[in-house]
Amino acid sequence: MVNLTIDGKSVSVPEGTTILKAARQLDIHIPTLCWLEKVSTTGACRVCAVEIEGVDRPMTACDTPVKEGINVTTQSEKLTRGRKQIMELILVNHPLDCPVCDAGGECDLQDICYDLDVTHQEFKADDVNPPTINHWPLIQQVPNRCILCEKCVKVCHELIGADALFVNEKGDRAFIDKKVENCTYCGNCVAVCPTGTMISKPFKFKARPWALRKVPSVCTYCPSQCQIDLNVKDNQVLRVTSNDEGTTNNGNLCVGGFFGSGYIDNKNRLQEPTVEQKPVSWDKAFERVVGEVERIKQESGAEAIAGFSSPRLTNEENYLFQKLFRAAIGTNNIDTEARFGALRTLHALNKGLGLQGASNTMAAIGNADAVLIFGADPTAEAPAVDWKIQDAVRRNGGKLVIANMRQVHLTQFADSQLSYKPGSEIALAHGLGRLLLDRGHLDEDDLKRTVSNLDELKADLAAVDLEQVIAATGLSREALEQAADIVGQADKVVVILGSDICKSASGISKSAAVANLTILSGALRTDGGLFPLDEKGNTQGVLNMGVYPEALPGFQSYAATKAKFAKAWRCDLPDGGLDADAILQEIEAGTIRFLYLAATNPQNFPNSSRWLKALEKVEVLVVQDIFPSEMTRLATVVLPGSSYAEKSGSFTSLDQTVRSFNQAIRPIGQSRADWEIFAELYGRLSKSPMTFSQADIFAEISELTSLYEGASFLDDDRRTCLQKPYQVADQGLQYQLVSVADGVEGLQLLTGTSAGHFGTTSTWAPAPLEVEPEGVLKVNAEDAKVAGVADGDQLKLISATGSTIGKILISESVPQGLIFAPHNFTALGIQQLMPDGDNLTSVQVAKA
Amino acid sequence: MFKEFAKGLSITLKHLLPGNCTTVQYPKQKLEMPPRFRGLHRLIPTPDREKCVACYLCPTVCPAKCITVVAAENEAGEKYPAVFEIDILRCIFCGYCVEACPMEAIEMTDAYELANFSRDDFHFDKQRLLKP
Repeated sequence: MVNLTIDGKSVSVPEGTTILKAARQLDIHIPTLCWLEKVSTTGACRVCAVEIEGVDRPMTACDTPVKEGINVTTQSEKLTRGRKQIMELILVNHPLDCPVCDAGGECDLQDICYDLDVTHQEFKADDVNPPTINHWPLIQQVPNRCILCEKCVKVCHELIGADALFVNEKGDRAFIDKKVENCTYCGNCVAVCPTGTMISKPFKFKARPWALRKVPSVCTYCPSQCQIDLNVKDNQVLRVTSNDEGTTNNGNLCVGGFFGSGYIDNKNRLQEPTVEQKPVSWDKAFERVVGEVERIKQESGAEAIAGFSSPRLTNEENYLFQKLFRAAIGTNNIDTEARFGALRTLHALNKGLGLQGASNTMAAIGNADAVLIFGADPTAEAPAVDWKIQDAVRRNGGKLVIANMRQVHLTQFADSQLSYKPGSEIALAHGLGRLLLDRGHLDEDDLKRTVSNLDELKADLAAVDLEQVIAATGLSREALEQAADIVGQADKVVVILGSDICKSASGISKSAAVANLTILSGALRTDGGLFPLDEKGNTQGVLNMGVYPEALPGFQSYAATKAKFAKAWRCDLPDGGLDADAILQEIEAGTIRFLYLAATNPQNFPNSSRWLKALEKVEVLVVQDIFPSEMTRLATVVLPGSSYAEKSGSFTSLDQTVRSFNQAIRPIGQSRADWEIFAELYGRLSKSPMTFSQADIFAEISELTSLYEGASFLDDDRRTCLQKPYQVADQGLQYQLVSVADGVEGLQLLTGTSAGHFGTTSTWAPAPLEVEPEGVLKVNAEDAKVAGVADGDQLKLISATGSTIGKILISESVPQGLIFAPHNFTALGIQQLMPDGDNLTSVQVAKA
Repeated sequence: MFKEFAKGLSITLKHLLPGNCTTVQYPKQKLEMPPRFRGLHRLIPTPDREKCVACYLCPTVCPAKCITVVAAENEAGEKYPAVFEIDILRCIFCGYCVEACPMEAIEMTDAYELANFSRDDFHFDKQRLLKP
């Protein structure tokens, strides 16, 4: 510790602390302009100059480390004069356009000028007057207003790793320029700009910052659930901001978070209930739904009714949904799209590791010594996880291993990239496991304590043939050994697995193989972690609330705990229950006659054409959604739900943190909060009106499940409920025997999420759509040559189940033999080509 | 006593004579307002647009919250008020809007005859406020 005196007060701080940070500890305010806590220090503006006794000239507080015994003065006449002059120099050619500048009212330059009473201009300089840059999508750059603090450049480089912004030219002609092709449109440059240089075009001129009401909320696009503030005026969400302090995302947002809120007041939103495509009152619509339920129950029993809920709905809504179906309607035929992804991973993790999601909080990722990403593209699936990984790898000295068929954004920071052959995930996991053993990286004592079937584990590892692994994965032995060494030598290991694994039809065994690797890597120690990713906002919440036939809320086996819930809900609960695959079959067979789709669109399920054909046959289709689709066209009754901004509730993030948010605006048109719709239907069907409050539901969940036991509640805006890191019990882990699947042959098509979109919701938001208007097929140059197509051409893809035509982008990120297509665009319809519940298929291509 | 009474009455009678009346004969006769009188607002035009740039300072400062501004971008990329409306029924004619305006785009005229027949007539939109 170093002792020093600032303005007569003494303080003791760790070595290497800057004077600025030491002063903040004492609540002494030193003005800053170019300093931003979350990036490296720039020291460009010199407004933070302070006097140090014995040093001739003033020193900048932001980048001068403390020294033992120094005596610092932060306020003096000389300093004020100096700071004032610095401001005058910064302002020498600054345009006086505050009335039309969007930053007016939240401009650091304005604030400091007021604080220092800068009212005169003593200096003169030739005005370069560079023109405004208006051709970038979504962001306007006004170089006139720039003070070259470089915060935007640093955020872009250091935190997002996009390498898009840079300082062009020199001297008084210097300005911030952008390599547009590298930009991810995360908007963080706009957020950190202390002046009005970086302007968000969608928000431009919409409102003054002081007229906006900031409602604390949670971004629901992806499971990272960044903590955001909805900026509301006149019942409209005009922009989204996030605080640097007190958020897990450190104020950083991605294209969805920053620019993606435009879908909320999209003109195409469903605004009134319809029956047989004709607008009706809510009462009539409810009557029809209830009438149909009762009729079909009478004619064919409750088994003829099924429903889908959604990870786009809140925890409370999902809880109400399953209660409505199980208790009021009397059927257990409920499922969600998690069936084609997250549930498979859950199954494997639960069996092998006793986990029901991630094993630690997201903060652990940033402190990891080694991060192993398996079959995931965190940048696209959960951007905040990407930033945490960059924290670990670029700032805290951690190493990064990426096992992914494709090269992803994080590949540039990886110490090892294992681009395995499509379908060889299990072989790769086995190979890495074997190498961890061979190279002496296993913690025998720990394994002995935690693994229940250590003999099986050892026998299985001994049986792994590395030559076969090398052949199956197409990777070199050196690459595998290097990766195993990185993971094996690290103390704190984080394993992240994603959609390439869980969305695969053999997702259970692939997840199990990664679970085995997790055991061997030691990632389940309390300072490491395992993080399964799913691209949808509240997938963890859906699983927690038991919206699948096998379990009741809190992962309690349906068959075993049925009685407990029946007693609490004062009703009889049905036996059995069909999952998504069975529901589809029963619809085709004609036994399921009533289907309820809550915020679910089977057009985006794999083998979507089969789903669509089946749904045309359903006798009664009730669709509760916010946007029109093929489903609303087929629907008997359409119930307009609402977006998260229009209701209150809570979401569960990928690390099981529950955060609440409050209603920010009134529902659009006649639409209603989804929970209101479920509660009304429950009341009408069970003949006992249902009162609802978030607290009631929370109390009910807490009473019936152990979900929130041991969790700590923070007293913040979002009533954050934080889970404790997972403690592995003695003999609590089970090594699962997984057999290696056969490799795949020929040209493969892989689906996944695009980095610019989140589900299909963001395709209704104008801003993300401006950057990425359509789904583009990423094709390797060699494959394109074979097919005879060039960049930008249309390519026809044909699989066993369907075909589609899409524009291609020739990209080195996909290896030869693999085409990547985003499933976010209904227009591209890539899911028609996929086999049931799968994300990889053989395709043939032809020039369109 | 009678003397005082007659004196008083003579003053009264003197004022009744033509030319000695202090009451302004409104509406036949109208007062000239002092230069700083705060009457109906006016938006100052420039040759091709209004001077106002929709900075929102006047609705912010307005104590009666009677000014509605909606900013937009014109073809030249400039900020302009797509909507500028004053609800004169609410206005308290304090003149803060004029004081706050950084562009000197709004002034208060000497017009004080604001009576009208319907509430809608008291909503002064941009076109009405731009009239000289």
